[in-house]
Amino acid sequence: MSHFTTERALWEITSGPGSMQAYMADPDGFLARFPLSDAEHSMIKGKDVQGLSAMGNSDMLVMLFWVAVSGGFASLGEYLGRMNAPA
Amino acid sequence: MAKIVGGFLLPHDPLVTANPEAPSKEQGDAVRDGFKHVARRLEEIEVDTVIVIGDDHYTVFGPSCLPRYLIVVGEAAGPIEPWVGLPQEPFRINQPLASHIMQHGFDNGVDWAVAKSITLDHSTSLPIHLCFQDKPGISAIPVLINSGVEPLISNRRCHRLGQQMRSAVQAWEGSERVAILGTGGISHWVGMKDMGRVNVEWDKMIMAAVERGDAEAIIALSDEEIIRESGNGGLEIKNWLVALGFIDQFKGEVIEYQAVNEWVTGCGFMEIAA
Repeated sequence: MSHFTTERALWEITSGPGSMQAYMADPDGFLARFPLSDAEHSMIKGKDVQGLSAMGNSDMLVMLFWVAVSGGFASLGEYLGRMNAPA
Repeated sequence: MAKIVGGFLLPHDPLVTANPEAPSKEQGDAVRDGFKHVARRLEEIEVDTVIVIGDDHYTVFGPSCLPRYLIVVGEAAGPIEPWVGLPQEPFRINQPLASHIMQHGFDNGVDWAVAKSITLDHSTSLPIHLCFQDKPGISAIPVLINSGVEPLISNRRCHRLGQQMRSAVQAWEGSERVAILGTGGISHWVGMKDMGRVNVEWDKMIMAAVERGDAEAIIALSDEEIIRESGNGGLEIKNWLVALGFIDQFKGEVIEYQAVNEWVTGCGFMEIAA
């Protein structure tokens, strides 16, 4: 796996105009735009932030992705719980 | 001839405005007073142009294009993030001097990326808003360096970039009085497992190096060591290094330091002067 395409997908979800709403409405359809492996697709759709970090994606971007799709900064406690969960 | 009249190092932590009530009032006020102190000093030393060094947080720039260093020569506004809690406003830009710094760089081996029109993230927008957006006589020249996203700019390149901007300003025929803000840091773990931790000992080591005018001690730090001891956000001392290169033969003076766990950052304020 390479983090190049996953970073592109995470960035597009986080920063593209209107794309967070498009992703939330149809995650599979949105992710089909990118040449992701099944495992990469599942990691993003499943918000596997620990796995996304471990494969080399920018932690800053992984956090911004989480905030965008998980209800904002109030959800950072759960984010840190997932990041620090036993692998 | 333009004159370099001062420099400051300060945080650009977006939680200062996004979540102002998070820390104790005493600690929050100390940080807010740090920004007010810088704002007051800019007036006291009669600055009309402020070069603001920041870094994009994978917000404006994306995987398709990651500029190593970029100068704004045209129009800018910010912040782009609504959650920062500041109004998105246009900034006054000293376009003639910015274009001169760009061209001076091109003529001397500094291949700037250039923004003709950009909406900036909090890294430059927050210090502009808190330090001089309300002062019509002061304009900005935002500069973004890639201290936040791999591949990272080197410490040495940052310091040299500051030196090269100093040469450019000194070669400018205008009468501007120019200051520089090196923004960001010090220790903070953005999105990392340790987010919320602050390494006070490390932060004070960095500030002590600035106090004694020892940029080389900071340049010598590896990226791996910086991340281990101060998180990915600690890499923003590269922004500081640009400012340290800009002020020749500098010494530093501490304005304020607060380790604010609620704002996930060691917030250091310093003035640097020849």
